[in-house]
Amino acid sequence: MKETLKYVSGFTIGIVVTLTILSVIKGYIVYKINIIDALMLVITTALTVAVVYLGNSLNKKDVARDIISKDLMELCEVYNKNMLILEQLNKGEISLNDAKADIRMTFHRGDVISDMIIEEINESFPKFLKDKKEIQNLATSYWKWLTDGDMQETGFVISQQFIKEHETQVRKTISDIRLVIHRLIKSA
Amino acid sequence: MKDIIIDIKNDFSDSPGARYRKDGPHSGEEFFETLLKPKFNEAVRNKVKLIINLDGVWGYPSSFVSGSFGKLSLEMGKDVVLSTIVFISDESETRKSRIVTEIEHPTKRDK
Repeated sequence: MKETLKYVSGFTIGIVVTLTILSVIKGYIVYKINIIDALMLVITTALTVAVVYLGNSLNKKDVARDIISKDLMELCEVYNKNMLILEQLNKGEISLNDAKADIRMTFHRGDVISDMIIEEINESFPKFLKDKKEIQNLATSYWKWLTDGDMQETGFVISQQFIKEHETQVRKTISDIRLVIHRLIKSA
Repeated sequence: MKDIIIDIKNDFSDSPGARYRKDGPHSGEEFFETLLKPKFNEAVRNKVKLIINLDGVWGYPSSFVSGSFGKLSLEMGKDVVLSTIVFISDESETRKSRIVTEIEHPTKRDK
């Protein structure tokens, strides 16, 4: 739609310019010009330029929105990986210490990606976030649950119950991240 | 006197552990007792800053943060802790923010 708009406005400008040149060459322009016609020409030209400019501006915002949305989806994938780690632990494929180390790394990755997302949003949509903590705290509750709960205590043995509770925590976190994406899409 | 520095990766561990010593090595309790509290007290006594470098560590468990910085906040008060400690992290602002939040609202947990 935006591309079509650009072509139409470009075509209109082309017609206006061509007619003007032809008029001058063939001597159709007289010195006593109708003021209404002159104003209409100016307004039409100004509107055409504005439409092309607005179209370009909206296009850039869409590109930025797309990049940030993809980074937020990557954040979802990062936290989702913890489900795989716990499945591996449950099957005995990795040790508890290795699982804890991998989970720590997951949250480290998540923190780094969160920082990047905050920078991107502040660059392209400076009024979107009231506070950068909106992004920083997306996974805080989940981080506390997984890295300061049962799994950290002596004698922890993974169970299906724990895995199910973990899945609930992850899905809640991913849901919160996706809501940010929806808010971003709806924002100006 | 110059500011006091703790580099967690080099002075303690790049893999912080759980909350208590009984739960494994490099715990928050161990960090609190061997490094954080003594250095903090020294900084307060000498009216200098305690600079803590968080980089080079692959993730801080909440148990470690709570068992060390949270405990310090509960014992000393969040205002004096936040006015004495300066956190440095080129790797992640989010990680710094989490630790500051724990100091501001420390988690109380029975042993």
